[in-house]
Amino acid sequence: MTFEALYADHSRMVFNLALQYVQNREDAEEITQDVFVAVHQSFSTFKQESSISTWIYRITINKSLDYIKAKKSKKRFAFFTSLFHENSSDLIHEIASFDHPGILLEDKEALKILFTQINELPNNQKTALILHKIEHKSQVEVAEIMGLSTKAIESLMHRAKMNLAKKIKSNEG
Amino acid sequence: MNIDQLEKIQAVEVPPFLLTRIKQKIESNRASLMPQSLVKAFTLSFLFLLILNFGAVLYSLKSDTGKENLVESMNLSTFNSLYK
Repeated sequence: MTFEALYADHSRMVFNLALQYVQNREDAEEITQDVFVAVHQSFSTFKQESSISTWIYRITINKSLDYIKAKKSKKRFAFFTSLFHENSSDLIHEIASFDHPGILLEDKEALKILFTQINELPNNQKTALILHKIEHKSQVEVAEIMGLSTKAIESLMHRAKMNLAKKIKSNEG
Repeated sequence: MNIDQLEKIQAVEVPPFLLTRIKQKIESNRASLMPQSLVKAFTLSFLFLLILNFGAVLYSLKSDTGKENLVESMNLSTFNSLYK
């Protein structure tokens, strides 16, 4: 299988999954690039233990989480430097840009709030929720991608929903 | 607010020219990487120098004890002080 064919088959899935994590077109493009560079580098060492698409899903999830982590630490560093520079006070109040192209304008405000709560969930709950609720994967497929049992996914989904409900309630109340 | 609202999110198309940018990134990564043969040559020469140094240190330790034995057997003084 050529790299171009691999890209043609999986780029849409990679880009959309990255979008659910970062809710921003530019960042999702950045992650998609990182994913396919990683795929290109390690395709020769890919063991056929799982399907190519499961393997690419895992790379995308890891790259997205790494990207968010790096961005958070960059922001933290910017915050500290802003404390020592008078002219950079605007950095403190910077709001993460929400530019999800898959969301209709009328749903944008509600989903922006929902994603703010989702982004505060632990990574495994967030991943299970994204794969099941947005990517419409079955619990068996989510279990395979995350390398967990179906029972574990069920429990993760339950905890994610409970945590989200709590956060939404405290936000509304 | 409902969690089922997430199902309203639609899949979007990949931006054009992304494949070109990925290929450029792969090429720039490849250019910045040292060729595998060069890496191997450096590693081998480093190991060779390390072994050579180790051997030289061992040899010098061995030859020092030989000198001391010779000095002792000839009853020569090993002190630099003239008045001892």
